This record gives sequence, structure tokens and C-alpha cells, in this order.
Amino acid sequence: MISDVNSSTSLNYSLNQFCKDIANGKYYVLSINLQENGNIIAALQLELHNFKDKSNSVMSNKSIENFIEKQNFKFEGRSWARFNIMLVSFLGFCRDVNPWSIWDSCDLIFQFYQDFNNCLINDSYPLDPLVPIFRNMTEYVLPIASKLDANCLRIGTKKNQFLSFASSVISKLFNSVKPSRTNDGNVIQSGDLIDFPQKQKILLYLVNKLNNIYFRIDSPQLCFNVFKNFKPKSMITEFGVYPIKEQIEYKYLLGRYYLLNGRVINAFVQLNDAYTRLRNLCDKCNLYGHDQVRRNLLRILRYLIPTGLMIGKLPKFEMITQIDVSLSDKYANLSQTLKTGNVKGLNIWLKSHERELCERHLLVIQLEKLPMICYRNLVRSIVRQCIIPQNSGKIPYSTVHDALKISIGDPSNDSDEHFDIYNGIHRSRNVENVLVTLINLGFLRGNCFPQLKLCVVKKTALIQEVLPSIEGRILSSFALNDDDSWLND
Amino acid sequence: MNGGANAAMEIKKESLASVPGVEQSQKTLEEDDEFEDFPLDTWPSEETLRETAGAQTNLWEEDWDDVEVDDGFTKELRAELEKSRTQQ
Amino acid sequence: PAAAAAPPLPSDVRPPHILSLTLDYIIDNLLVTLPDSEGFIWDRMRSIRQDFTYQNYSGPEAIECNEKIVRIHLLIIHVMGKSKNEFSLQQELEQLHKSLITLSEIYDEVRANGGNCPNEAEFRAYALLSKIRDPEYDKNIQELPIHIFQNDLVQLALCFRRYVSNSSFHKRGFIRTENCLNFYNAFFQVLNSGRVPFLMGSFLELYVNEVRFYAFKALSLSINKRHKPIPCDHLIETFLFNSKEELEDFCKYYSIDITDEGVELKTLTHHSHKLNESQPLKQASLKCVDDLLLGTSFPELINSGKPTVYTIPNNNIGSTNHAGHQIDEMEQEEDGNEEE
Repeated sequence: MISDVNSSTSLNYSLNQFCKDIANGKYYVLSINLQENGNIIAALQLELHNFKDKSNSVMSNKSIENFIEKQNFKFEGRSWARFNIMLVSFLGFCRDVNPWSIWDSCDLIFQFYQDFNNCLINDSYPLDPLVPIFRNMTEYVLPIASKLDANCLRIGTKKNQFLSFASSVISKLFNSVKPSRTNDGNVIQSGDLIDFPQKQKILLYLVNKLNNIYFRIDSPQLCFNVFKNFKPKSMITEFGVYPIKEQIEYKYLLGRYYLLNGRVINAFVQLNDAYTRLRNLCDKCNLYGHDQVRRNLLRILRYLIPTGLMIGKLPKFEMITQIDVSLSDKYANLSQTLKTGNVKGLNIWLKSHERELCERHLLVIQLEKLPMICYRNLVRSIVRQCIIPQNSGKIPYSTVHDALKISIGDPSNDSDEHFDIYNGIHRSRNVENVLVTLINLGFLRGNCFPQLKLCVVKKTALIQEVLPSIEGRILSSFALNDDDSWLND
Repeated sequence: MNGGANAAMEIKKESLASVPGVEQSQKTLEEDDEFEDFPLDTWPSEETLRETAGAQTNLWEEDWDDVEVDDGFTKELRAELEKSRTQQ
Repeated sequence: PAAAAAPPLPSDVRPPHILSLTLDYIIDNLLVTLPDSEGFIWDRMRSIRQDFTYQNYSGPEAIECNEKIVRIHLLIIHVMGKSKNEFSLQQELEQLHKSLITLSEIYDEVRANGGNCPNEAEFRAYALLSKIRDPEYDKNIQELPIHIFQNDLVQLALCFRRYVSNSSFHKRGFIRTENCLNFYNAFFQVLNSGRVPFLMGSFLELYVNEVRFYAFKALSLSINKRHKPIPCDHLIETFLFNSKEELEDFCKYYSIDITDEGVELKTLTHHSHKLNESQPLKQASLKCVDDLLLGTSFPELINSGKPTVYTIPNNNIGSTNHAGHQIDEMEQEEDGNEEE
């Protein structure tokens, strides 16, 4: 395509040539990317500024409209109003763009982006060839929107103005996607992308772009509708048919979305799958030389590791070290506090990483969901070291209390000590409450006797009968979202 | 790449950046959570992708209940539990 | 729901300094007439809020008034909860919630313009308690500046959210999450400790009965089926019932057997604190929270914040494009009393 562009450009490019190209379906000339299409745009700008029309030499909007109307572009015999509007918008862009300032030209850029998108909404028009161009334009426009928004912060205009606008454009396109139906009204489905409309082919691309914007503008709750409507819009029966890179990104974003809603096992399945697929892709296609891939793996791991820890899994740290040593060390320290049942250690760790965890919304969820893992392991130590050897089947509250005093390290009296989330949640005196929660979560199989101040468990040498696997218990109590079943092999 | 327009935009980008007070709130690439695109020269077949090479991609220990840790805390805990045990 | 009222004439909308004075009058003279004047105060406060909205004003007076209005709602909730008067808790909460939303929007905007609201942390803490199980609030608080996140009241609110977190919480539309703490002991201990300021305590009273329910439930599932009844005294002390009678009312509501020997926890069969076929249980009122009112007057309580001084460098706020916000507000404002 680039070579085609070069061959049709020279300073001889003209409005007439432009119209010929459009009539012949060479829509690549509609790129507003100055790097790619600068010659054409420059040539058109020159002509539009030297247009011999009535009083001044700059071609007015009305003149451009008339010019386009006169071309009488027809599509299967029909005229296409939005297409014409788009062409007018393009020429307006060419006429007014300031190649020396993105800021000055930003309205033109986004206006054209919107006008071009409007051509893609009504499926009764032959819009397929325009879709790849929209995609390229999106790749060009979104980084610009990001930069503009970053620079806008001081001016006090609405936050995330440009990205929000871009998201509304993409969202409109996403909403317009519908699966084709047979005459009986049944959805046409297939396990293959090849013969499908262009909008179907880029559906997952649109989903990911939209969700990325929502995350970037700190409104991830907006992803809900996108996730919900993706499958109903898709003609594909097997998720695996979409481009592998898009699949991986989708799962990564879905996993993060679940985490924001505290849904740990669902987050784990998606994040772990994203990681496995990307790793697999790396191995099969030898991508280790590419820094972007390593960084993507790191991105997934930043969320995947704490998620795994929250469901009682332990990562192989030597594998993480290959990607990033500091991430590996950081979580190795955390996993040690969890494994040993050291609640104070857990809180110290959380506090020392507070800022970076807050950045990724990982502080509060771990503050809430790691302690029970910690307590479970503490009780496991008690059972293994005291209860099983004695074969008593009885855990005295006092023993648990002594262990909790060491684990939590709280002062014996609630002093005027500064109270915060790291020292305010856990108290060694609340022995029964800890046991009750462990039992209700299924992490401990036992019965409490409040008056007798003890917890009775099975007399057995097999500790897993008293403290079963955490992951197993969580999987049996918390269902995976049915809607996601098509995402997995 | 088209030299003129590109260079011009680079200049403008920089000048925007050096305006006092304009915050660089954009994160570095390392810190940014958004996926980066990467080149994929050969498209692997679905079958190739589906066979996960087990050892390479499995990130998780089988069972960490077996993993032993010995540190200051576990020693202190063990001592305390010994005391409790002998007192029973 | 009734249709939104037509917007008032510009001449009928009171300017910000008048609205401030009006609210001050209510604080100084009308609060003492509670509980009887609840309906009237509710109505006057709503109209003050609306007047700020109609004139698209979000300057210092709007901030201060909304903050005081939130505090008044919290005071009212406790006073009415303790009294025998009929009132609509739902309506009080609705207005409270709207004020909190307005405030968070203004706080965000002030910060985006380089300014700072001195009482923001207090109201972020209340917001955390307003939807105590909604993960959205945990997300948002982690995005706020460090001095707000680390503020004492915010930290306290975050602790309470952890105490009430519960993997067995059962309500239509609610998705349960893993590994929750259900630390009912800490919930009552900390409430009783004197650490929780009155207004926050008032808010937490709204959750007392549901925490009690899920505690009883969790206990019932962890004790042996042949377990003896749990002595009433123990439960009264642990769960801060004001009297044996209150415990009896609670058990009666949830069909839990209670005798002189104690409470048969295992007779609790409900899975959710919400009983669809019954009126909701009257909100709890705790003596330890009520005691915090001793030695302070209502005006002192309501005016307890720092004064909101204009700190914004460029003077955009006060007449900004709150258009979208305004229209939403007007569409949502209900006229008259609603059905419960």
C-alpha cells in the first residue's frame, strides 16, 4: 500500500486525481497520517489554497461540498451521504491542517475520525474496504489523544477530553456491529474468520481498544458493557479463531477487570491463561528478543502473581526472575509471610509497598484477601506441631491465642497507638472469629465450642483432612463465570 | 519517513513538553500497564499454539503445603507451640 | 416516582451566601427540635442543595453547605433511629448519598484545577461507608492523593469495610467474593472503643444488624449440631445489644429460638439478612455511639470541619460547565415523598 501511495504521489497530485482514486476505491489516500500520506495532503492543501473561486483563493467549505456533490459518487447505484460528508471532512482537513502543530490541528483530526467512523455504521452500504483504514487511523489517533490529554491537565479543560471523545467514536462503531443472520433470522456462525465482514474481523480489536481507553481514563467500570456485548455481537463460535495477540490482550484486560471487582478466581483464570498463551507464543515463535514481549509478560505478571497468591498458589520464582528480578524478590518476600502464617509480616510488606500497590489497585484487595491464607497456614502449623502429635483432635483457643500474639504482634492493650489499616484489622484476642471464618470458608474442617473455648477437629495423621487445599475449596465455593466458557480451549 | 512534517511535529512535541508547568503525567513504558504491539513474523497454526509445552509455561508450584520455610518467625512460633504443647 | 419539578425562576433561586446563612439558621435553631422536625429539615436541606445546582454553582459555599448537610443527615439518622418517630430512612440516605456524590465531583474538579478542600478526607471516609461493599470505592480511594488515603478517618473506614467483608453475604444482584474476613468481633470492639467519631458511628449503626446476622450465621455453621444454647449475656456483650429485650427482638425477627438458657443458633435457617416477605428490621441504635453525643452540642458537631477557603489559582470553578451534572440532578430530583 505504501508503494502504491508513493507511485501516485508527486507534487502533481491534485483534486482531480484524488477523485479518480476515490472512484477507483483507492481509499488509502484518505490517511491523515502526515508521515505516511504527507505528500498527498500537502499537494491538496496547496491546491485548496489556490482555488480560483469567487472572491478569495481558499476553497470554502461550501465549495468543497459542491465539488464533492458534483462527483456524484455512487455505490451500487445509490448515493452515500455520509461518505460524501467524510470526503468533505477530509478535504477540510487537508486545507487547514498545520503540520507544525498537532495542537492546532486536533479538532480537524478528531472531526475527521468521527466523520469517517460515521460511514461504518450502516451495514447496508459497502463499507468493508473502509474498515482497515479506520483501523490504521485509530492506531494513529489514539496516541495523539493520549498526549493531548496529558498536556491538557494544567489548562483545566475537562479531564481525558480527547480519549473520551475517541472512545465515543469507537463505541459507536462497536455498538453497530451485529452478527449477520440467515433469512430465518438465525445468526450465521462459523469457526473461521475468512469470509466474514470486516467489522467482524476487527471486533476483538475494537473491544480491546475500547477497554484500554476505559482503563487509561480510570473508568474501567465502563468495560462492563463491552465485555457483556462482545459474544452476542460475534459470529465466531470459537474464541481461538481471533488473532492470538488480541486474545491475549483481551484476557489480560478481563482479568484485571475481575480483580477490580474482587473476583479472584475468575481473574486468575483469565490472567493465567493470558500469561500461558503469551509464553507459549514466545517459545514457538522465538520472540524473546523483543523487549515489548518481555514487558507484556511483566504486565501480566504484576497482576497474576498476587492473584495466584490470593487463591493459595505459589509461583515458581525462578521463572519470574527471568522476566523481572525485583518483581520476583518482592513477591517471594510476601509469599514467605503467607506460608509461615506471619500476619505482621504481611502487613509490613503491604505498608512498605503501599504506593506502587495503590497505583495498580492491588493494595486493598490484598489487604482483604491475603490474611485468611495467612491464618490458614498458621493454624496448619499449630495442627501439625501440636494437635496431630498429641492425637487429641482438640485445638484450645489459648494455643491459637498464643500463636496469634506472635503472628499479629499486637500490643496487649489497645493503646492510643496510631490506628491504620496495617495495625487496626487483626487482634490476637479474636481467636474464635478467626476460626469461625476459616471454617466458613472451608479452609479448616472443625467445630467450635465457644463455652469450652476449643475447636474440635478430626483425629487423623493426615493433615489435609483437617486443612484441605485452599485452591480446591475456593474452586468449589466460587463459580467461574459461565459467560467466559467460550474463551477457553 | 517523511522528513519535513515529522521533524516539525517532533519539535512541537518537545516545545510542548518544555512549557513550564505542563505536567508529564504519562508513565514510562516500563510502568505503563497497556500492552505493546510486537512483531509476529510467522503466524503459528492453532494446533501448534494449543500444545502447551507444560514445563515452560506452568508458573505454579504443584503444592506448596510441602514447601518448608525456616526463618525467625517460624522459630519463634515453634518455640511458643512447644511451650503450649508441654503445658497441655 | 413523581415527575421532576420544573426549575424555578432565576429570581427565586437564592444566592450562595444566602444559602449559607439559611443553613446556619437551621443548624443553630432547628436541630434542637429533632426528632419532630425531621421532615421539615429534610425538605429545607434538599431545597438548599437544589438551589446550588440550579445556578450551577460549586464554589466554597456549595462545598461547605453540602458538607454540613451530610453531617446533619448523619446526625438525623442516629437521632431518628433512637426515637420512636416514623421517618423514611431511605429518603434520608438518598439525599445523603446525593450530597456525597456532589462533593466528590467538586473535590475532583478542585484538585484538577490545582486547589485543595480541607475537609475532603472526612467525606471520602463517609463515602466509603455509604456503599460499604461496593468495590468501586476501594478502587477510587487508592487513586486519591496520599494525604487523603492516609487520613485517620479514611483508614478507619477502610478497616470497617474489611470487618464487614463477607464471602457469604447474600443479596440479590450481589456477587460474592473470595477470602473475606467477616471480623464481627473487631467491628463491635472498635465501635465501642471510643476511636470512632460520632458521625461515623452513626453511619455504622446502619450496618449493625446485618453484621449481627452474618455473625450469628457464621457461628451457627461452625458449631456442632448438638451444641448447647449460647448464653444471652455473652451475645449481648459481644454484639452490643442494649438489652436482653433487643436480643430477643432480633432473634424473633430471624426466627431464632431463644430461651432462658440462651440462643439456639442452629435454628437460624435464613441465608440472607434481607427477609423479602417482611418489613426491614428497625436500624440498631448503640449506646456507645449515643454516649458520644454527651458533652457536645449539635451545632458544634455540624460545624466541626475546617473552613473552606478558596484555594484555586485560576478562578474557573464556581461557574464551570456542570451542565451535564445539572441536568442529571434535575431529572433525578423527586418531588414529594416517595413510597418506601
